[in-house]
Amino acid sequence: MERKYPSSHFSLLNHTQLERVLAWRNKPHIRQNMHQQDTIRLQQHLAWFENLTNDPTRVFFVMEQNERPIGVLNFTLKSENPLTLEWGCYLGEDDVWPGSGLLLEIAALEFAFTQTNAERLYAEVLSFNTSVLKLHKLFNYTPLEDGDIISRSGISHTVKRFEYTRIQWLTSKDELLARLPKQIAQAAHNISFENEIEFFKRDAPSPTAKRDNEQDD
Amino acid sequence: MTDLRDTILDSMRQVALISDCTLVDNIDDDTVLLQSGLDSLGFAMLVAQLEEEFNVDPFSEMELAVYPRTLGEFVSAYQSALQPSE
Repeated sequence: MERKYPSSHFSLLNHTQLERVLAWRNKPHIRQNMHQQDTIRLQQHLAWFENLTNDPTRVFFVMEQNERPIGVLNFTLKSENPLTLEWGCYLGEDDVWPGSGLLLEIAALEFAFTQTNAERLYAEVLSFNTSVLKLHKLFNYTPLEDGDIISRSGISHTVKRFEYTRIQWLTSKDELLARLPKQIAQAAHNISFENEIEFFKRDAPSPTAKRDNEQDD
Repeated sequence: MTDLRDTILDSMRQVALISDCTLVDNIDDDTVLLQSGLDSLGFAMLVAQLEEEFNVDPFSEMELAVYPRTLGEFVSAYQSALQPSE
């Protein structure tokens, strides 16, 4: 029987998806994994989007599974030397292809190291978020020194910090995908990103360098 | 249907053990999969294990408009995939 693995297309967040993403972001199980866990109001969300669209150091994708929006994947410039991107993600919908979280993990690495000039990918995870900690371990992220300790309802949690390098992904991607359940490796072939995104694109000046030059003129 | 559900639940327990997940108590047909205690890796492993058991992966062999949200919908997907074609 012919296999039909889902497509995973990552398109830039636009106005038409703002309310959907706000509803996802305010879901309790998503808020609990965020540094900022307050409920976000529409006006705050609109202001955040306005800042996002004018900020060349951030990019925010909506993950479309078989053309249906199901989650987000975002990147922020963390440092320019070496070029390091910080990433985050979440699934907003419940009825998704089993293993979609793994596809987000793969997509983050694939975007950072095949679509941009990034040398390193950086991630922070709250210590109680064991499912993501396990994924980072499975993908062989390098643990860094722990970050801040935050308090939630009187309980302390550590910000766990991780890093992944370009060479690591380019040399171990095939081996890593082969270790995953086979349907995940197959579905990973169907990951694609919106074209024409000028976000630290390979062989192009960095957006911040361009912005700095413009300011000098 | 009950046998199928029991087989799937047994597999969930096995995968939870292997993948260091803790399933919630009292899982029933209305349990939302993403809140069952099994994580994304666990569900991927479960689907792979069930493919070995039943020789079918309904999520990669059927044109599904949406994927299952609850355990009941998950079991139904396998039930449909395992029905002999007319």
